[in-house]
Amino acid sequence: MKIVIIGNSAAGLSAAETIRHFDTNAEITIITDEIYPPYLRCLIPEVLAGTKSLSELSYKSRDFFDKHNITLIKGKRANAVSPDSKKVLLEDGYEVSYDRLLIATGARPLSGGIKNDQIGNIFPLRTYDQALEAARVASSAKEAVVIGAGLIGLSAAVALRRKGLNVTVVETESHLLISQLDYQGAAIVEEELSREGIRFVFGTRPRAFVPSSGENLVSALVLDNGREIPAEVAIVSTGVQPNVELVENAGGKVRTGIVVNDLLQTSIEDVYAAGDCIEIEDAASGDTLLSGLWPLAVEQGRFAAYNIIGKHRPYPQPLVRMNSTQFGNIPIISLGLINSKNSNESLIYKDLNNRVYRRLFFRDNILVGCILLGDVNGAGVYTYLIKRKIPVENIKHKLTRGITSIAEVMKLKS
Amino acid sequence: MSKEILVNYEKCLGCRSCEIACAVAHSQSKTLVGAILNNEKPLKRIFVNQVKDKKIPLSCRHCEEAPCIDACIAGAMHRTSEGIVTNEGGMHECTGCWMCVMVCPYGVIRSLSDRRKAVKCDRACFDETDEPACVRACPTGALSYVTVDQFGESKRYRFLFEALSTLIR
Repeated sequence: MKIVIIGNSAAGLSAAETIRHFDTNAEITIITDEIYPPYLRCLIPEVLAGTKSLSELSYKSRDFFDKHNITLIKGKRANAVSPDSKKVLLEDGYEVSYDRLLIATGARPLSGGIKNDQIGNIFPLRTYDQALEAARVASSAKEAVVIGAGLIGLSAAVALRRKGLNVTVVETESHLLISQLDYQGAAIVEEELSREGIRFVFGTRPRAFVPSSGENLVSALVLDNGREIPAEVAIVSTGVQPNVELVENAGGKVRTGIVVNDLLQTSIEDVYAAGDCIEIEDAASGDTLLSGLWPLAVEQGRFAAYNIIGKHRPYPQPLVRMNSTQFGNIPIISLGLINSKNSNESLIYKDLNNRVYRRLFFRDNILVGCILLGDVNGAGVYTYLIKRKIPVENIKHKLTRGITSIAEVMKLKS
Repeated sequence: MSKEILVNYEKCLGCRSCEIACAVAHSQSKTLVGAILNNEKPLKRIFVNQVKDKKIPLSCRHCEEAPCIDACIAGAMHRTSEGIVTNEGGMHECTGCWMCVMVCPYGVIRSLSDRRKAVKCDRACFDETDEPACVRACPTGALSYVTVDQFGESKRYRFLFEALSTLIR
């Protein structure tokens, strides 16, 4: 069987490895438009900071493709999929035929729609190339601006600050990590990052980049309130959009992301999709959301592989809204639904001297989301409870104080 | 068939000998006194929980489809050829992003936020008896290190293995 995978990152590689594990005869081909060996995309802020090189981001051994007998076509974009002839058309006119196709094309940064964003030294932060180029420019700069106080934006700000730049983060919303934290949690993280010297501007929209006189490079950012922030380098991190075009243009079903069923099949026969390019139903809310998380991409790649080789394993509904990170000395985990719209009870534990903040959201005694800040031990238990919608009436307060364990919900026979 | 640490929670007194033995076995000096004299705070990777009248020791199950390996964004968490799931000695160092902590349903991966490192059972605690430190230290036989099918079906119900292995499915 000829299996073709478009995409050489989390989902694509996890699928390839799984297929090879079970099927020694399958012909596996991976197509990627990147020229680099597979790298840990989540760590590219370290490239911006200058603390990690490409080889320190590579996460498969050099002989990975040989060892797994995988044909790698790199540095070439897949331009189209032809479902009738079961072929992938590459940008150089070359055709690759498939019996089963996996689309693992990921996502790309949203432009942000700020005026003059085509001038020089303005970067998204999604690929190694972008991080490397931004790092080069930042090395000889003093002033930096970051648009967007999400996870990538804040990581970029920390990286630039570590290089010694003056960094201002501009966020349209009223506080940082708007998708992960509430106001109080965000205040703790903001204080921590401010201590490192990062400045913040909230609640105002970036209007336009100002080009330098003479060269066509960025020199400042003007905000809607008229304020001008000097910037010799700018990072724009205002979210991503899934790469759906291959499936869309082939007549496959696409809404925000590529639509897949529980076997991770697209609406096109023998075409599967996994990772950041798909949308999927969230276990906590029942909403259909963009997948967009490395751990989910790896998991989906694995399940897509099972189904591609005929093992028929439905992909269990994932918790899509989850993330973890650390800024300064504050570990952060955010899970599920973290607003009062989707819950009818919220409990808070605060130990601000130790900068521990925990807020749990319940709907009818079921944990639907939580913010864990400062102490994230045992977080996976909360993830499990949210995913499985287990009633936690009796242990709500223990969960809030962070003194429970999975043993509480095990069914022990006596 | 690989060996697992099984728990007979009916025998567990909650004495926490396993916790101390685990922590000491992972300390530099390998003795409790040495660790204390070195000003080193030994770190346990097994946790005794109290649930009503029962004591439940929990440590990593080294899951077959380990969510922590899927989740690792740093290339650190991996499975060794012996089947042990660990973030030590992998392709890269753990960066302390806490993805593994977030997805482990047993909650048995610790986060050392000051060192930016996740810490878990790595089975790097064997001595010449070929048993993990926690099992060696257990005075009541609540912990045992055996191949899973060494247990008769009639006996298995008393062991946590069953309760645990149904969790992540």
